[in-house]
Amino acid sequence: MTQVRKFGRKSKHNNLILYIAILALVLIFSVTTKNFFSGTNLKAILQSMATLSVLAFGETFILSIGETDISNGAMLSLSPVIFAALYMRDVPFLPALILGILATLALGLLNALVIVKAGLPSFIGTLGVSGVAMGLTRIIANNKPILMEHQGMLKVFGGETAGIPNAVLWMAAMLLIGDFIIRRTRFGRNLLCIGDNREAAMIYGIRINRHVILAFLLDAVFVTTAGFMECCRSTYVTAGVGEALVLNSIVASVIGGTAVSGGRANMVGTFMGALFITIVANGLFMFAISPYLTNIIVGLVIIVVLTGNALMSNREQELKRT
Amino acid sequence: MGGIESEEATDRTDRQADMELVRVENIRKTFGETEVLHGVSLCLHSGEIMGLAGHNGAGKSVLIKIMGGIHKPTEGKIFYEGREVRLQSTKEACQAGFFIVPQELNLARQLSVAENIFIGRKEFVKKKGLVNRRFIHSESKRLLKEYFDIDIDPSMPVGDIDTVMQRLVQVVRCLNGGAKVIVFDETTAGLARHERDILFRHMKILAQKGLGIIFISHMIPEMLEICDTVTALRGGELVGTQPIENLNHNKIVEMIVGQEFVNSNFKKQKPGEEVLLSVKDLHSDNGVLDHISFDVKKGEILGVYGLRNQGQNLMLDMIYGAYKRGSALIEIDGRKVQIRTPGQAVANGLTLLPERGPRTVFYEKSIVENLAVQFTNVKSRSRFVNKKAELRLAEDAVKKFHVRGHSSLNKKLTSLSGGNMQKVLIARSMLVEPEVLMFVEPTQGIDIGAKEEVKSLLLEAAKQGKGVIIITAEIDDIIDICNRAVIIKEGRIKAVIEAAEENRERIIEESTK
Repeated sequence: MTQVRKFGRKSKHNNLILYIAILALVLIFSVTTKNFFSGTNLKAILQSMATLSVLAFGETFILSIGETDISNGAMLSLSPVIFAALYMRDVPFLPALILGILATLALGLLNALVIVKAGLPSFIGTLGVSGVAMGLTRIIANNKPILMEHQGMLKVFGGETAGIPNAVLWMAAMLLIGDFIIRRTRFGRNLLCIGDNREAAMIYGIRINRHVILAFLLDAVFVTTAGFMECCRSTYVTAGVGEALVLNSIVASVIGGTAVSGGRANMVGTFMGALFITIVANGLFMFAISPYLTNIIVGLVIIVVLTGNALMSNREQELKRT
Repeated sequence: MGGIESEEATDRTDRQADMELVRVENIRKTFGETEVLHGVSLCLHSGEIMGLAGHNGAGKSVLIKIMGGIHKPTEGKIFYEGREVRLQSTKEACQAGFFIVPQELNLARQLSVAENIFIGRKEFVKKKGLVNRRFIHSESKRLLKEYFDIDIDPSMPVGDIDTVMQRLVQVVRCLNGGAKVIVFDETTAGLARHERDILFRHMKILAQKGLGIIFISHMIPEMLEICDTVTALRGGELVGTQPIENLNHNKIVEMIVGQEFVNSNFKKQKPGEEVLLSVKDLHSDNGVLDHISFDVKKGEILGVYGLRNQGQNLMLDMIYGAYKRGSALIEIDGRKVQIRTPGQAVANGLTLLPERGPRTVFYEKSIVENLAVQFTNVKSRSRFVNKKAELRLAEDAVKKFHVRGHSSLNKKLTSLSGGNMQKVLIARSMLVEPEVLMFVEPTQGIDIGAKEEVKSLLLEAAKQGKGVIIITAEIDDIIDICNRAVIIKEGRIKAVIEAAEENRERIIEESTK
């Protein structure tokens, strides 16, 4: 049989289109507006995408096993709220911080247990936990923004180092960690196997339940980090911040080449996906388009991009058929 | 009176016998950059059962799909009953009488027999759009009785009736749709001997009634049994069409493989006396398996033979720890072992390779990854993925196991043909250096050359002193490479027979009685 022309691995191919699209957008916006291609604006883009990125990295782990976590947005503010509330009541720094982190991890564990023990589909299970998180954050914050008193936290997450916003540094760090785990560790490889074919993974000795639990705990770590990144930007911590980011965290992953059905994940792609969404929103902002209209446009763009993805994948399937 | 009428009658049957049902001329098909069919022609006549043979990837499925309106040919003509057609859809093909029965069957398992037969037909609904339940039930009953002389309750969900019946229901659906040509695409894979016999009997009756049948299969003995002609494809080219009288097993193999293929003499190993695996009192909580006891000696290949769903798969799953609801006393190499998870099984030197498919293949992953997954998880000490080491492992394995057809080991496993995929999966099991290996249907659905290679690999493992258990529905596998055959029926071991040629009939009989 004559040789099939190589397309390369699918995720790389998809991402080529994404990179081109991002480049095109940057060009278009730079040419059509005054301030897009300025140092300040580019910095602003990176800073505003930081929280979304880290949240999306965590979500990528969950998608890789073929599950979905829609509680991450609701859980975002939990650690900061608990920390700020405790610290304000004179609880020492370390215990307050640890309790805050543990709370989010506990919810992450709850997510996993609901799926593993009760057998609920992840979408439903995490939906329930998101309700719990939303209520919890508001109760603890007493429905008021809490003053973040700890200067150190504000600096570490919200400040700058050598001109680069710390949030961007955190984003880079989490990207490296996430990418390393998913590509270079046995654990990450196993997650992809589970997402690819759960039954086969079980037969090959991979302990499914243990991996699901660890994946959700890992996700919770990323959610906690994203939470502090987001809430330390201003001096007040508000419960419920980040709830709107849930869907975009999934979209960013999918645009970047992570499959919703599991088995394929690409952290760098997720980063690019978040970048893409942020650039579109930022560019539209430059045009002084209202935020609501921006939502509509971003939504439409996402549909177009994902349709493009799907068509590509269908074409690939066609070529493979004999 | 007699003379003229009988002459007319003979004329009619002659004409009918010569009548072309479907003919294709010079079909070429290109997908993207690749041409998969290079000018294939064939012709099917009324009452003819034509076998379509060829290795995996030779283009049989594509050709059939073109004939059935699923793909459009890049070049070439299709004729139905002498008229040229340009098919725009499968619906057109079906309306003209061309039906395909795919390997997985096109039945909706939750729907009833009657619904499966009539769905899509205009008799399915009454005037207001409501389902015409009474009609389809009585009609289905009548059709099943008339065509195949079988009595099934037409309200039964199709998923609940046995596999041969399912195939017959699918055929009735085609017949009810006015089928003139039916293509059976590997319909016999996984059927036990007597189930195949039933199917063949009915196929012959259909052919006698004037239908044309195309029969795609990897099993040459089946083709010799039932086909009138055999067409072979190789690498997208037509090798030729021969009447069955001119063919025998080796000649068909030659058509498929392309060279003088000497039936390799499988040298069975004489197993030692030491017992490698001992299973006593295996019992499953759901009642399917009870009091199962057997052993496997060092260097032995044990064949588990029987009809489908007699508990074989459950038995191996239980031994392997993939199914926990039950109990068994298992000893490996004299040591008592407690196996509650697959991970523990592998750690104790026991592997299982289920049927190639949803339980074994990682569809998104590359050849290297599919190969290394078990090794990396169980044998490797490192928590990190060492891509270089895995690649080296894969390169060695690919050489040792004669895996072919890949341009790069980083391509997806599914880019390989069935036979080569199977070799990779077997390599995966062997890489963890087990003492006992268990395989489910290791030669199913792969072409001749690959079958021989797989059997050699299994014999090689036995020669190294390992114990091998295979579940298989193919008696040839049992006779060719197994030392003993364990016949399993209704969750119990019925007999253990030496797997020698002279016991062939007896083994088959024991499994069906």
